[in-house]
Amino acid sequence: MSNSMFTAATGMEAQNTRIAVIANNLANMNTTGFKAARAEFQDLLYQIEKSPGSEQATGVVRPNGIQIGTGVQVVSTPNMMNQGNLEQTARALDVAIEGRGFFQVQLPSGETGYTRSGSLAINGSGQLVTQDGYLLIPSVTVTTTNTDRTIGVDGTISSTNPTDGTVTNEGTLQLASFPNEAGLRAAGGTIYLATEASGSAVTGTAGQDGVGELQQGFLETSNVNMAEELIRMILAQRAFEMNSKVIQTSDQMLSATNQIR
Amino acid sequence: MTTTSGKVAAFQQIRVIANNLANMNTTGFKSERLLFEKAVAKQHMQFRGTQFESDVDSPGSINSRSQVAIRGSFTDFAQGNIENTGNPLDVAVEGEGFFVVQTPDGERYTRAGNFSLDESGRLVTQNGFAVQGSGGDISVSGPHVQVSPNGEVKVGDSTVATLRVVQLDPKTAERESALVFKANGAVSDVTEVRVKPGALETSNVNAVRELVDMIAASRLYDSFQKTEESIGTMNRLRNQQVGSLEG
Repeated sequence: MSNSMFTAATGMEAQNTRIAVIANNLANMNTTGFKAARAEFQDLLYQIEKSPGSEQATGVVRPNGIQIGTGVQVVSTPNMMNQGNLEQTARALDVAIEGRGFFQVQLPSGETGYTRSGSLAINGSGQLVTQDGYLLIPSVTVTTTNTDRTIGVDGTISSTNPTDGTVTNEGTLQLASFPNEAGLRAAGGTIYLATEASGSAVTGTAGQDGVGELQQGFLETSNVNMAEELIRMILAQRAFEMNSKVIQTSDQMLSATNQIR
Repeated sequence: MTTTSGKVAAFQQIRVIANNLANMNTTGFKSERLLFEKAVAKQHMQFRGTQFESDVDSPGSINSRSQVAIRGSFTDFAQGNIENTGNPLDVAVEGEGFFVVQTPDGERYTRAGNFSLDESGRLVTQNGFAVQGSGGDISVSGPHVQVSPNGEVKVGDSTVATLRVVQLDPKTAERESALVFKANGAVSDVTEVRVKPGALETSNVNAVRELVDMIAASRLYDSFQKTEESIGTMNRLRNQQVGSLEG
């Protein structure tokens, strides 16, 4: 009898999770390189029950039992790795990835992090770092006195000596790709970590073997679609209300049962 | 007591509705519906003194055989709405048919097309079942994965596999968790695969109908409850009167 209440409770919890995912998406609408997540649901086990009293009264053969489900669960919250829009900033150290792939960064913990956020800077030692100060892998040291730094679509960084006009190749930006990008784990600050589900990183040159190209002077905006998220939020809210009505109705029936004299 | 069967039936209806509503936002979910049967009582008996007399539907007689019968439940395979997501790995079946997935318990069938890739690049469902194409598992290695409207899975310009879409016998299909169905009858591949890439089929639960059915079940439950209470009252009165006659 209270089964329907537990079933409805799973529904409410699932919608709560969905709202939490949507809230995070909306909070990161303007975060460079952010990838929206989506909560995926699936139903739980079914029980086959016989219906009471149907054998004797009517003499009609019951075709099958009643398949009663036990609710819903969140099976995964994958990130949607669709490309975000490219926004022109005209800043020489802003690089956007057009296509698949991630920049590799050295995290303080020693792990390798992966990010789409290509807003780069130069640290005190002349190395290219992210806005958080994480070193790029492979690390690139630039000649700080040079000007007119260009980053080609294949990741080649070159700059010009202002005094004699010589062009120096300062290194190459490498990208890493994964068999299953959606399986990466978001570790905050637009950093993703490799997991079992994502597979191992495959490093490569930008523009080759299916890896995306680099666009200097652009940043990839978040791929959150505000209208879709708001619609999903409304649907989740309605579903939450419906499930709470089931709990109310079950509760009324249970309390009526308890009042039999 | 016959009203017990009616109350259990009402509760079963509530439980089926509860599962439908819990899954009203689940991609590819199909609602479950109960088949009620109008219970026709074969005989009505009227108790007068110590005699039993057959009677046909006389008012005020105690129906000792009337019950609410549930014939069973069936899955409503009506198509849900198609929602565009723009995600290249999302696919929706247009019209009838099911995707084929391989599970540890054998081949199963599903309408939920929110596919993903596993760590080796195989096309899988959200909980890891391998989606079956014309040649078994579908392995995708490379960028620009796309599904064409005729079910071909393409990496770049080359076709890697064609999605299998099959027809099931709705009467014998048995539902299991994780949005899959087990076919106990014949399974046949459709002649022409028609899918919508970049889209998902939403749950086909109609929340308004479920709520209305839930209110009806709740009222039915109440009426059985009241019948029980009045029978209880009548029994008490009868016991008192019989007792006083013999006294």
